Amino acid sequence: MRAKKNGAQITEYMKGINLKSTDEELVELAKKNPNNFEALVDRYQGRLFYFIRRTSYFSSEDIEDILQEAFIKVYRNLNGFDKDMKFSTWIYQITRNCTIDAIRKKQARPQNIQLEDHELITFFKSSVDMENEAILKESFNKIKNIINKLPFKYKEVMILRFLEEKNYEEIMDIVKKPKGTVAALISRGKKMVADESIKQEINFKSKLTLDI
Amino acid sequence: MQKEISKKVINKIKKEHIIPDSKWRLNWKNYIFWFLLSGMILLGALFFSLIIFNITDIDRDLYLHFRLSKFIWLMLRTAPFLWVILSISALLFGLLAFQKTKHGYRYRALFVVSIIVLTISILGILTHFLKINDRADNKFSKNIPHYQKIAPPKELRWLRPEGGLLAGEIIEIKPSGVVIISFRGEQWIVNYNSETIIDPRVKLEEKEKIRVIGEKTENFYFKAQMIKKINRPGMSPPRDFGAKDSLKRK
Repeated sequence: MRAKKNGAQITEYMKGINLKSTDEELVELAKKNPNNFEALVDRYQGRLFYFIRRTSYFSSEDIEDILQEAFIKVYRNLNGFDKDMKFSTWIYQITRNCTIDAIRKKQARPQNIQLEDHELITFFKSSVDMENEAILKESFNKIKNIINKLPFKYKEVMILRFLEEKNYEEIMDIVKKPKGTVAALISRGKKMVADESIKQEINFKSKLTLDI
Repeated sequence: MQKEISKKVINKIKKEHIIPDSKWRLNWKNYIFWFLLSGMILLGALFFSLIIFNITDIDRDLYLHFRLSKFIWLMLRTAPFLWVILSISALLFGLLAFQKTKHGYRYRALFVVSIIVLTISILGILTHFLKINDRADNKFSKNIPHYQKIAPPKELRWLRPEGGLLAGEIIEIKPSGVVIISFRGEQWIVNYNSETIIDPRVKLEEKEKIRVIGEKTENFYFKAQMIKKINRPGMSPPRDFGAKDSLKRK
């Protein structure tokens, strides 16, 4: 009897979800049955894992804990999701809040974020025009130092823009700041990276254009 | 790792019987902040209309009669500061309430302030035309103790004989002047001559309310340079009507 019931539930679950389901459809299905929420978790956990990693200094275990907490929060708040913003933006917003809460709990500032080498180069290239790989390799430690020294509020929006590839509206909703402020933060962050590169005598051309 | 996280999340949801919170529970703070914002706008509009109510007797003649510096001085001395402060407070609290709403972060403070100021101004002017400010002022003066001390009535602007301004109700007609009872309950003899500019609407008869621009010649004697009519209901008899330092007429 129970096996029959479980079977029916799984069939219903399979009926409702397929790979092409949109986030919004999955949200509606998840409201009806928590099993359906698994598809959303699977869809976002990878991206959000790297997002937390890029904006914090936590270990993989800590990041998994934050991620779990974020997903539970998302589940609790499913009825609060309005279609005024994309689901991906909303889930990034919640994850960011959980990350910041975790940073506060540890009472430490997110000074040295964990970026892969290629991410550091992408980040750096967003501010300076440099194609010469030899110079990049040669100056890698300096570049790493420059990005690590950049204040968190600039680093965060630049990560969202150039590594997470979010547009200005999405960043505005994720960090909960007006679009103009986001644009100003990105522009100032780029200028700071470019100025610091001059000081460190890295040969490059400044790239101070807004890419809204 | 990936499958583990989703399994852990689903297991936790099931084990702890977590269910999505209701829309009402998730949004109640947002509704409260919208309610507060609406309240602040309505209050701001009322305070703004009371500012209008208090300064509508300032006309061109007053400006022309005085030098600019004296006119500004008079305006500053008699400005309805209470209503100005309360209007600004309503604006600031309205801004804070808006910024706490769900999407309040999307807009710059300057933009929000502009929209609130515009709304308060439109509603304030409407309130003025509907005379709600006049009624509110009367109600406040009747029901709030010491109201006249914290919000001096606009008639006080016309109770500055040393500054050249006087207003009141005519109680007696004389050959070269009139006796008026001021809004402070004092009797003044107002003299005029052929050079005095008299508003054509002024009939100079008993019970008529007038405002006079001129100069104080001696105690309770005033020489009029311009006499104008008081035609607004707001400037009606003094709230504490009754002689205080009445002139003992010779």
